[in-house]
Amino acid sequence: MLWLCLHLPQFSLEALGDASASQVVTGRRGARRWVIAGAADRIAPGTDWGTVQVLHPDLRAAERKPRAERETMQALAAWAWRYGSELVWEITESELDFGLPCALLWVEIGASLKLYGGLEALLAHLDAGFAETGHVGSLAVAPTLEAAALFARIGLAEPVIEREQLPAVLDALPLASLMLTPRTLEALKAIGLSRIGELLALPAAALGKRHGAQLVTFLDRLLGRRPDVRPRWRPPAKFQRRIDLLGEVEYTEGLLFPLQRMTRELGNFLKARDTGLQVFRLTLLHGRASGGRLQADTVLDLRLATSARDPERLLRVLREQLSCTPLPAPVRSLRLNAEQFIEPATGQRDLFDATRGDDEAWSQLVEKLVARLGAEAVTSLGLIADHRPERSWRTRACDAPPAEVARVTAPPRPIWLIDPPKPLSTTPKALAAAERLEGGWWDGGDVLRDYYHADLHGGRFWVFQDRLTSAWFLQGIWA
Amino acid sequence: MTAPAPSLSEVLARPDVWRGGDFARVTAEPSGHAELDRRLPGGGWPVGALTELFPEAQGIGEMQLVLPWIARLTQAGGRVAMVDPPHLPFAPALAQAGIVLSRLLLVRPQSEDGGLWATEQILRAGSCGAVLAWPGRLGAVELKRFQLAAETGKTTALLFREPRAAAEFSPAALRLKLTARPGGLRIDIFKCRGGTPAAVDVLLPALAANG
Repeated sequence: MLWLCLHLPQFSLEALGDASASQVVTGRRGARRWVIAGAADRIAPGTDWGTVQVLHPDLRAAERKPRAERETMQALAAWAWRYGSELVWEITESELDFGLPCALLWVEIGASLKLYGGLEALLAHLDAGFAETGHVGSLAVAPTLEAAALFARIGLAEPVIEREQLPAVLDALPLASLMLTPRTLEALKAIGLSRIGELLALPAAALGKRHGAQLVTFLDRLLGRRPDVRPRWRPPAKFQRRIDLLGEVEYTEGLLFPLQRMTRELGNFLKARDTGLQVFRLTLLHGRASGGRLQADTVLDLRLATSARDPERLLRVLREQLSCTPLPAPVRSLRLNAEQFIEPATGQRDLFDATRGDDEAWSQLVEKLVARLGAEAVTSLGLIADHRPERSWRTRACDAPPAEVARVTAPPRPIWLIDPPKPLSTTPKALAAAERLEGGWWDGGDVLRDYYHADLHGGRFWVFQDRLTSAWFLQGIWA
Repeated sequence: MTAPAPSLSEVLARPDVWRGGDFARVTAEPSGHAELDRRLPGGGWPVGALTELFPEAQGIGEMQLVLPWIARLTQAGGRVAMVDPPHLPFAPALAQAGIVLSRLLLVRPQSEDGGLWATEQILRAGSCGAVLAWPGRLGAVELKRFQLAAETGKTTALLFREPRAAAEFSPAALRLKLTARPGGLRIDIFKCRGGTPAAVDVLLPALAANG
């Protein structure tokens, strides 16, 4: 096992979805309030909020949002899934350091080294990808979970590959860098220990008796002498992501930045699941309007012509649809849902087949048209084997598979159909011989008609006389 | 001392000499009507350019004029878009004309602006071989945009327009006035990039058979 650990010190701030320089996250216990993340260049985490307000009156404080943190971690895990199939994450609060949250994500990379072409290539790939996720953090590589977390926290970038190297690396590190309970740490300091090496040199049985079995277990796991079993992360079955905007957004342009982030996360999720999607839903939550009236959410159902996982393409469809959706009220939150997944058709490519790229361009064009004009405005046509003209055709979705070939056996038909037929006030001068169409009692659409060609207003028309009422109707135009 | 006088062929080879009989080579798709193709530069509908058709009235055979080519295009695996047609295209009639219906895209937007936008998008995308559009009022700006989009996508665009718009300026490569004739159409080619204006009579058998 070779674990790569990401330590994310600003995670509770990043999970808020707005990493502006003047935003900080505070923790609270009783009347005390202190800074736990944000404005790292100006104030140290743990500074009292009262003090901060005096020093930097421009800073805005927000509470932690546990749900947003979980969702953000899910999104990050979906991204990291490409580097290894075993993944663990934790968001804990240390008992020291004013309860600072500690967000850690581990990936087992030992099995992926060959795929990426060695550790260095993998780390370079991961570094580039990590920068794109918009998080900041430090990473370390070690054979055990605890050791990787320790090295990531203290910023030891040099990877440790073999378990046997661990004691030597740990030896000189200060005891305080271990995540121990304050009581244990105090007790160990009291007996004169300051380095981890000194602690490891003590006999385990005596240490267990004095400081509890937990400490021994912890040290065993740190060195890999005992398996560290934690629940592994699995990609969830559905994608749901909600981003609460810090302010109210009145124009759709203002939604593009969070949407870009959401579609990127959705793309990562789809890649982790190795699937694609064709339908997804964006909900704009308006919350309570200024008058106190609850504004119903705006729901946008989006549809792609073919299954896709490319975030650019998802964003393009979202943009197109948003650009023609008026906002009834300012938006406070966004929610993106995807529940139905279809594997994209990324079959074998033919080296000499040039039509493939053409098909992709085609489905993207259809998507764009559908997003702007609506699905009912962008269709294809199909045939139905029925003798009644108004029932002999249908519209088909553009992405439907090519229809069964129905042959047309009827006499020549006009190019344009008037649907429904238009009643004529005068009797037209019929030209060609009549064609009689009858029947349809089986589905309630019984007809009894004689069809003629007729010249009206300089054009050639297709008219019929209803034999029950003797009324004349216009149904088609030859053109 | 004077330079020797250049020969005639040397003068003609100079890039800045243009002869009246020379025309730029035009890529075109045969329309399927031999009489018309003979008159058109390149022998058909110009590819990557606008063609404007001005039928004097609806239903004189303007669709019969373009259907043979559309049918050939879809049978060869190409795609055709119809944007904002004046009526519903009747599927059995299209199938009778030989058009592969699954290669046909029908766009019927709610608004005129939607139609113009869709036309430009389809022309630019280049995944449709042909676009038949029935735009409403078109200004010089829209036509120019269509022309550029058609050039980008190498798409053949046929615009069916009101007869009175024939008097307006247009960047289209080909402009045709259509007048009804017994059993066919009279086509007045009054603007023709890379060719000379002419008039030609085309017989439309399908139309003749109906009368």
